[in-house]
Amino acid sequence: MIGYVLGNYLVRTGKITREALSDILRKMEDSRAQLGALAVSEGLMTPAQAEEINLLQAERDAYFGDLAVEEGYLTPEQLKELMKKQGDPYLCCSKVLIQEGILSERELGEALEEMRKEEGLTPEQLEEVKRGAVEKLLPGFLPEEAQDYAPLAGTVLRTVIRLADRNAYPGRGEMCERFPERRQVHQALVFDGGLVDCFAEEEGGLMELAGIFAQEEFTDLNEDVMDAAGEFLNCANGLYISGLSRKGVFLELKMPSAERSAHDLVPGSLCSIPVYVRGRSLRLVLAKIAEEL
Amino acid sequence: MEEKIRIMIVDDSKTSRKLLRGILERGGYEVVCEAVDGEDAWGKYREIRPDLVTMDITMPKMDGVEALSMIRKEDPTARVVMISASGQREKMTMAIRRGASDFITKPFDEKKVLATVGAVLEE
Repeated sequence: MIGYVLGNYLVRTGKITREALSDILRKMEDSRAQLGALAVSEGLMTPAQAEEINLLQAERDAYFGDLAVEEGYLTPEQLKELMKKQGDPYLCCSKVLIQEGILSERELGEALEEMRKEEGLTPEQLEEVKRGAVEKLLPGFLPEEAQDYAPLAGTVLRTVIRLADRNAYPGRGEMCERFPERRQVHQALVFDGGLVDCFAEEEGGLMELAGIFAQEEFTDLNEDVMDAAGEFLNCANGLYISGLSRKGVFLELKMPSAERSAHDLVPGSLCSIPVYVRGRSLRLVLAKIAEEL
Repeated sequence: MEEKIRIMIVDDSKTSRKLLRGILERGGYEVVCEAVDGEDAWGKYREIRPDLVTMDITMPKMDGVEALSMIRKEDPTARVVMISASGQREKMTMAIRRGASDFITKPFDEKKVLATVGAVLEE
């Protein structure tokens, strides 16, 4: 995530080109191993156990390492050690930027500080961005009135990271009056009221997300893109309601739809969050459904 | 030449049908037809009689559980594997009670899909 956040800032401010950013991100990917592959290569888990955890992740919104500890395949100490070996995302990013001669250490420090101010991040939030801890970052990116959207938005975002782009990241959310004008796909999660969430296209992010999920290269924002985006949203929301059901809260997942939600929404409850997939933005919009009388 | 096992895919999402078709064909199965909702599935099942059906649960017109019931009523030996996103435990349980052979969770994992389909066909 830090590679994309900082990289996009460097592109925006003209310090690097978009092509150079793609190259940097590829090098970062190469230098940072997946935790499961590392656990297997260290002999701490068998390939079958790693695969079992990967499958569990399709049903549970949880990190690989946490599930491996929960299933008894790793101890908390082994997980800590593996994460250390896996490498800090920020260190990987800064190493590539400096080694490639794109920025000096001093320039990197200055760029980070400028970016922090421009993005409106506190120093603590910047540390979370550096660590890639989305769930800790998200509440700080949501307006006060939208704090209770953090669990659902967090699940959707983690699903984007796990299934589409491990460098995806959110921007600052804002309350809004209505759904965006551009094409979008909605899904309602209902029970005496409930929630509706929606992916709306912004700057190509929706097409990127749909293309990765459907394993297709889309060039138009057509029905196939909306279908793939709807299926993706369905998977993410499924993980969310699955987590709630373990706590005794049951929501019904309606069919995803490219039509605007027919439910009555709670006035003033719409919150729109930019999400960057492969550096291109889409909007995740959330709203509350009014309780039926 | 050995005849391929014939499978029918039922899902209202074109993306899911395409991904599942790819997985099943790579696994050596023949996807004989696709249906886009429960009603469509019911009609095509009677006509084609595939060896196995993969059935999405949430669909327009007639959902997967209802279509499963219709198919099993017509053919009690029908093998139907239910498909759904996570979080549909209640509907999955209902489908198993109504005779579904097993279930697969979206997003698809190729190995899991092929292992489930293989095991159901061996039963």
